[in-house]
Amino acid sequence: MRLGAALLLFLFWACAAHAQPLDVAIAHSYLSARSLGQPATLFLVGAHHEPTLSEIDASILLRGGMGTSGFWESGVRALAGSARAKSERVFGAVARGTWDLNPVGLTVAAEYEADGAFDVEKGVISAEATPEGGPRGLGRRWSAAVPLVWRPWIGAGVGNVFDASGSEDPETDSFFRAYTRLEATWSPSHWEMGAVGTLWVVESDAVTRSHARGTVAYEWAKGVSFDVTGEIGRQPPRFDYDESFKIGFGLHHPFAR
Amino acid sequence: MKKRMTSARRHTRAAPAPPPSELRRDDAGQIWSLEQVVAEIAAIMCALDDNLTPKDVKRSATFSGDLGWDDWFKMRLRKPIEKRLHESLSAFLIMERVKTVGDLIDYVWSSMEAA
Repeated sequence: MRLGAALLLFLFWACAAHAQPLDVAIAHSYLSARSLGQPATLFLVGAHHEPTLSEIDASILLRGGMGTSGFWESGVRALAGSARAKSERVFGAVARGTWDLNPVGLTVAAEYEADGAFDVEKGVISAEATPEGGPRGLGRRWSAAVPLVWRPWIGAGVGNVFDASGSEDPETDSFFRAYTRLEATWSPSHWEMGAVGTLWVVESDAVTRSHARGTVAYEWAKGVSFDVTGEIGRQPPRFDYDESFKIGFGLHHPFAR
Repeated sequence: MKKRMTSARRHTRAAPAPPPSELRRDDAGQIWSLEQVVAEIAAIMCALDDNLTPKDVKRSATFSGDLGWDDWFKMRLRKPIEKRLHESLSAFLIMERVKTVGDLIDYVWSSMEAA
């Protein structure tokens, strides 16, 4: 953890040192373009004679220019709160660079990820790519009447477990993971329905892990929305199985709004 | 020139549209009027997205809301603009500052030099 955190802090400092100009975004998660378009959420869970529990799912990301065809990003994320057990919480920090290599976009990232108890800590260096355009609906509306936009990503990363792995974690010691992600958005007027599905393949015996998240959001004031979210599957760092359905409020401050 | 482009972008939305009679020169020395730049950008956008017609390409149209383009699709503008209008646009500024068609027109126009 110490090494990973130090590396990320250095990258963050190095990036910020020559940031011109600089933008900040608050969103659901920096993990995908789709997530960056979604609000950070705060859910409160209450029951009769029970304490009210909370869950926060948020990230803050800084972005700046890097040459003519690229930009850098650095940020932190948290999936935490009293409604989640420590082992179910996720913390992360990232420094990454993205380049427009028309016809594809390429992102190279260094990320630190940990669970809430810091029993599992990993550092991952990864690269992912997406076609900027292509078939109908890829990055643009399906048609003038059908506001469906989708985008695929493919990526791979190498990493190291800095601290002990979880019981269901296929990644032990050094690891290689490949993944593919599909994002889709349906956005008529103030409503937005979005889904993100990710499939990981981890090198040890080619174990697969998958996670899907769907959100229906209604923006009732600029940057503030009413959110219904459901998710199912396993995601890093522990890859423990989780399924949930939540209703709450979202806060969204995209870049350069 | 890059500094000029950057500062121009920061004030695009408050700035009025340039006078139509003005002529500018791109990085290859070709002379353009504002109307020609607007028409060329509209042609490029319609070629990239067959959902669009030239009349959809209005200055006020937002890429994400009105046209339904995500940030990565917007990046596809860089190559044809460089090829046809001979201006190299910053990927960062395209993603961060170019929110409307008017922003894009102003960015390209401000990148050109007075003829």
